[in-house]
Amino acid sequence: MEVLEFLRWPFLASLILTGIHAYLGVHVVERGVIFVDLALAQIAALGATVAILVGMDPHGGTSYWISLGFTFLGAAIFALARTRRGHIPQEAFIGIAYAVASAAAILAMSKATGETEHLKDMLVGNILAVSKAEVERTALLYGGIGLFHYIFRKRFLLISMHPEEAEAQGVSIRLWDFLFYASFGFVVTSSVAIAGVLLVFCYLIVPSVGAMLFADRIGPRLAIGWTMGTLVSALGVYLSVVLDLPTGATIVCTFGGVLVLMFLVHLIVRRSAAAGALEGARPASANNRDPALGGRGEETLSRPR
Amino acid sequence: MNSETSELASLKLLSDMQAELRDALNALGGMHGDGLLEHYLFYTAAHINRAVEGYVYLRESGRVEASKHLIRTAIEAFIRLQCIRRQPELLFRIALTEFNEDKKWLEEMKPLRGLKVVTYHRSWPNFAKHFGIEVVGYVEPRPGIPPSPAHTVELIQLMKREKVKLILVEPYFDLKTPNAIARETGGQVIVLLPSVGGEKVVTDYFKLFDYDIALLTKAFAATR
Repeated sequence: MEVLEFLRWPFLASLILTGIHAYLGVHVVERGVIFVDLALAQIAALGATVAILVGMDPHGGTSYWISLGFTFLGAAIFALARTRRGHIPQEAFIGIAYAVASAAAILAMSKATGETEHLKDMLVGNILAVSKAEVERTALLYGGIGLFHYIFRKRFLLISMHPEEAEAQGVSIRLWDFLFYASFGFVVTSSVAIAGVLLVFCYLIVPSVGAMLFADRIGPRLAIGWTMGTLVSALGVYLSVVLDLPTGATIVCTFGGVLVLMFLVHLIVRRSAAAGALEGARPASANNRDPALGGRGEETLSRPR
Repeated sequence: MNSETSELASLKLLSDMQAELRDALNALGGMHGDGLLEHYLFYTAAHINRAVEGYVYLRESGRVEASKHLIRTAIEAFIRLQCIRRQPELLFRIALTEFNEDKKWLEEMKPLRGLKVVTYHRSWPNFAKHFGIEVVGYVEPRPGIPPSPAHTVELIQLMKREKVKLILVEPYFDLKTPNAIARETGGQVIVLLPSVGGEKVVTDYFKLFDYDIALLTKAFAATR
């Protein structure tokens, strides 16, 4: 019973992470900038490292604002780096930002007393240590960011999914990109402080990818992502208690395991659907093969994809 | 000389050096009655013994190559021996200062004898033993691996049951988890310095102990 009581705030924190990250993950996956989260998280971690270096409490208010300042700088760089005509892919800038921020954090830490301990904490985090006040503050912050995204959802979705159309409509891609990355940076800075880089990455990408296996439209994808995030959080926390394992790493591995299961289910569903389609098509194809299928009819349909 | 013979020779050398240290202190007026000799050996022979025991343990578990741990210990003992041989009065004065300072620290820490505390890792065993503090649990029992919920809840229950109020943490560890445990137990996290230089004012070994003991006694008084 005491375990459940102790885990209520970490579990609530994981639900809040699911809420905002599963939504932002849809944008990130659509944009094809999968590692932007890791890059921004590392830039935020660099900010925290600099704060530690000048003697600040890594979890204090000033340290948070320094981290956020670094993240906004990263957001501005990513917004500028995205251009339709550019011949350098945006992922290149993201990768460079990640590598430079990581190396700079190591350089900064080489001058601090905490050394590898803080780098490890930023990477792994410890969601168990989250406090009630942190959960409340994060819920308010993410609620505000969620509202901002809800109000401008059409614009954000347009620049994420159809940037050419947005440009044709005269929408300022750079401005809205910056607003997206800045709000995203707000979320990443706060989430990394609670849960560490690895867990935040999973909350962002895995629900979105899992949902894409079963749905194309945004609504169903969000519903699947949120459901998956909630169930995996509960299962991960439960497994960490039963198996006596660190909670964050257990949730990450549970995400991986559930995604593999979802992929297998997806394969089975697709195969069944293909078989169903084949059944329906048999009378016609037996005598007259469909030219749209390359003239090979059931042979093509029945081949597992 | 094979590795085992070499280890035996090293151990014998250490043992000889300890004996010579003891004789040298005796010759300097070892102050058996006042405990200076015993006290001084706390920093030398006992220290060496612990290192040797640790080395034997690690070697038996197949975790270290032979001699690595002995080399440092032998060098330390050798340096002390050289000091005794060349500047016996100076070393005697150092030993006496340590003795007097330690007497003062032991007196200051007297109310804390038998106090139960939690530490981040198993990193204060000698300090705790010397001042009679009992370490009942660790925040992170396996260094580098975040604690599991089961361990953390057990630790919280233990702290509540045993009325443990102090969590001792080194400055380089993240305070989030210790603070979370302190929140649940009504305890207090104390950042103790493990070495000289952790704070600007801590410029030598004596100031290090003064600093840590002041923190501990103040925190102890606050929890009464």
